[in-house]
Amino acid sequence: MAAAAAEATTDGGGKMIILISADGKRFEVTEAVASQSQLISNMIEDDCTENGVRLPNVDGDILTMVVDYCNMHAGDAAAAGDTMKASSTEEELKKFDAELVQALENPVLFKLILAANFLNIKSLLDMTCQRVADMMSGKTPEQMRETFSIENDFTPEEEAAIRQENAWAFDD
Amino acid sequence: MGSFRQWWRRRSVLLARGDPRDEPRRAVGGLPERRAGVPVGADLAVAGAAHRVGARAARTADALADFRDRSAPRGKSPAFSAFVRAYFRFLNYRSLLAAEEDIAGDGDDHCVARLERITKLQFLLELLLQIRPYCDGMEVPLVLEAMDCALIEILQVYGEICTGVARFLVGVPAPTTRPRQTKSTAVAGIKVLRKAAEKSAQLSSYFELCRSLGVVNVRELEVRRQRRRRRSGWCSTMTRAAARRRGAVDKDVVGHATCREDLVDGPRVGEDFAGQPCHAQGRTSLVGRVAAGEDLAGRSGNARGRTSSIRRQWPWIMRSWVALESSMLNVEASDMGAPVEGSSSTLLELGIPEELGIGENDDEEEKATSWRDTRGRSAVGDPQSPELKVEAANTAVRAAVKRCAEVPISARPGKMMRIAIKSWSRFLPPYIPDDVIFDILLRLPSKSLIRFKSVCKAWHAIISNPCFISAHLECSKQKPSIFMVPGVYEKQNNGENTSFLMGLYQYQGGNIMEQIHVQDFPQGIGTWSRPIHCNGMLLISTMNHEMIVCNPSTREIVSLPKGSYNLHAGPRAGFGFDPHSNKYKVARFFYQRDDDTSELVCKFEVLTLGTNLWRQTEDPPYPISGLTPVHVKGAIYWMVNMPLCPDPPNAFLRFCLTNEKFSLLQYPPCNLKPTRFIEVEGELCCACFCSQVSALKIWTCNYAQNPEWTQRCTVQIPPDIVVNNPVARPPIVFLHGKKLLLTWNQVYQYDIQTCRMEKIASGVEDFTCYDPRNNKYWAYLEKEVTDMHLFNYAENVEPCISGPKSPHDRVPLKEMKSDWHACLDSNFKYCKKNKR
Repeated sequence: MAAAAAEATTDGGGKMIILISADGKRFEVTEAVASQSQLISNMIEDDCTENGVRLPNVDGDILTMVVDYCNMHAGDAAAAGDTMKASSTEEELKKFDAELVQALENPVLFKLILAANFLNIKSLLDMTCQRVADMMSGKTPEQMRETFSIENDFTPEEEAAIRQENAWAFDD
Repeated sequence: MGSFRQWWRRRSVLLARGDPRDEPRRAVGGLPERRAGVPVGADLAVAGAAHRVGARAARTADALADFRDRSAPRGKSPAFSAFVRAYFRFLNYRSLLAAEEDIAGDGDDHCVARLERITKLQFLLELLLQIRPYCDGMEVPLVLEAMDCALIEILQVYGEICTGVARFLVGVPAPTTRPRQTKSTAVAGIKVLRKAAEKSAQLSSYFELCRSLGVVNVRELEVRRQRRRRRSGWCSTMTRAAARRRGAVDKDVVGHATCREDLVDGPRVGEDFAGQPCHAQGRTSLVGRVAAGEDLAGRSGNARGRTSSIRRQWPWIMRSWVALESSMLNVEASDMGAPVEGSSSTLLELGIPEELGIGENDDEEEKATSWRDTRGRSAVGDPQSPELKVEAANTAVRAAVKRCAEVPISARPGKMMRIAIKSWSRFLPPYIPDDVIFDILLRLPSKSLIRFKSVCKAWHAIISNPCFISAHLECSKQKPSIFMVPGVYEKQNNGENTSFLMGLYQYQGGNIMEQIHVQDFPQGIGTWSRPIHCNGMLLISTMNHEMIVCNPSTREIVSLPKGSYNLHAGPRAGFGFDPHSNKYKVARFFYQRDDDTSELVCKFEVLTLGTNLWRQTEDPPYPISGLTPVHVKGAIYWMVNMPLCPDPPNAFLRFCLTNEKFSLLQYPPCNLKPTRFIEVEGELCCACFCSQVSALKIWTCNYAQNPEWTQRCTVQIPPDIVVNNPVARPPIVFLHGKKLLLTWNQVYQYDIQTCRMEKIASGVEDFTCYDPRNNKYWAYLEKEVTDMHLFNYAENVEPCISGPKSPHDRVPLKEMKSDWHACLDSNFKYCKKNKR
């Protein structure tokens, strides 16, 4: 079934790729959309996508977002002459991107980053990392430990030394 | 075969070439490739190809396994081969497994399928445990790195097994509802559970081995992180579940969540409880984990009803067990007519009653006693008589089943548990691999970065790493940002002395600039030469002919030793970065009188930051002009001093920082006179200006074997602006986003696309400063303002520019300051600049 679906072609002539999330959800996307992911692009080159691409560490919810993003951005990745997709202008894209990451809670955002990192979609990784960085700037180290579940492995003396060395960065 | 070969070849090429984005990361770890969060990242890419060619891959493994570390003695090569074979076997099996579906639902068939999957996972775990050094002296980085990956994989697989076991147990129907559960399932279930118990012992010893080898970091990191995460996740689930569902539902969710928690938390059981005699390893791991769960919940604190929830989960666990075993026994009894010795002794060997007996709480005590009673009864029977033994066991189980039947059973525990797991996992921050952390930190401003050095050792190491520093610099260069350094004289509190303040501001567009830092700068900025910017650092010539390198991102300030005396003027220096030696270099020319002819001779010397020494290099081919030089890509460009030169060339002087030699760069083919250098987007540009035609042409040089000049743009300057600038000085030009900033005394903005010129400010005084710390806006009023200096600024968190390369040896700012005050006390007097 999967193989048959994968062979199906769209009107535009692009081959369809099936992405399967960790929880078994299936997403059918065109090759142009999927190949924004360097990982999948490599797999397409190697011709091993006919049974669908399994993504065991990407949840369905996250993959939905990733596929949405890739669909929106397929225009600039695809050939410039493709007038069908040229309708999404730069501002629309920017707005879409902003809305995509703006509303996300931290854990979901992190999962999106992990998915982008795993699938190797540079623009999405850049955008999500930038969003996290924006949230991080101006925060205290304690807040960082909480956000990232990091254990403070400095001894109190070591930490005091580092803080003292860069005391100016700690006064707000 | 063809496609596999093709893939293999391409992969090796890719590895050899490397993704440039990965380059710094790879170096960060000092190790080949580190994608901790996706330990099977490579495998997945392989999966498509490899699972089709799995068998061949296995054969290839043997062929490949003949490698060895060159530094390893010959005798060890079989051990290395064994290691590689083990790793490859694992990869091979993993890729096969990855192709399988995850099992959903909880019917009988699913139970079987799930068990099969768990069995496979256990086999995978076995393969993983074989990835270990096979002789002494194998602790080479590559092997350790491989074990590092194996460890992460082990944690993942073990977690999956535990989840599988938990799901299986939940899915086991009570004997009353589905009496026809086949015997084989139950036997398989028991087998799996037993194996899981064995594995936990093996895992502990494997972790022990890893610790002794030094593969300790990841393990500790992982386990700790997971533990913390689970703990916090557990809390959220608890509160959430408590808020949403009350009563019985609550109980069930909590119970399942706890169970899941315990089961997934396998590794820590082995770790935390290994030493405690009452939790010896021989016991089934499930119960051990329940105990661990209790301990966990006890530790995680004070949420209401926590402990009682834990207590309430006991019947559930017991129920599952009893359901499992009784289904097995019942099937035996009814289908086969006679009890089978093997299965009942399995039950006895499992020793559930004893395990449950560890509960100290009242409820459990009671139940455990009853268990013990039934068990006691069974034990009372003649151990020599198998029939009696089986009979006793059956009685025990039946009694337990009866008792358990009284406890209300939720309709579909399997589903409840899935809900619990899902809602719970939503609150977990997932494990974020180091390379992603690297990517995130890269985008932070320097102040936050320096602050985050104190988050943990790993972050400190990342932020201090030279690769990170250069990557962060590159990232920062991509954001357009203009930096201003106005100098201000300000009356001190006592109203007598004026002190010089150097303000560092970031230009935000319009006439707003954001204050970054105001620095007490007693020496004052020299008026004869502009500060020079390179990679986020400034070289400032002071009023008392001193040279200071300042890094505003780290607030580090270093004063350089005085160079040879310049007869002609003050110190005129260039400042740049040598990409070959990764050092910053300050280069300056000076004029000396020749001993024989007593003519002025131009000499040249270079100081590498970190050393404290001026080294004289070859003499420049032409005398150098004092016009502020520019640094582009490892070379400093100067202009020839026309008046001192009898036969001036139509060329610039280029000083290469790598080989410290001079060469000539021809002027751009322009009818206007080249007047200023600028650096735009990392390219050398030259502004050609003529006040008569009031045109400014900007040329870009593509410096290669044969340098080529191309005209970038022509700026037609409106005549009124030229009139306002009677001194026909060429403006200083900057690119800000897509606009040019032109500064004489006034600052203009020029839009390249619309060719419109717009005045922003007629001096520093016109700018509005924004102080983000106090959220205040202010202007330079009643202050004596000197020149303003602009740079295309990038942040650089290079920790130490001053000298000894260990970050702890750097010269503290405080001492620097006392040095300045000494400077103030000396005979040096300010040459105060009159206000314009």
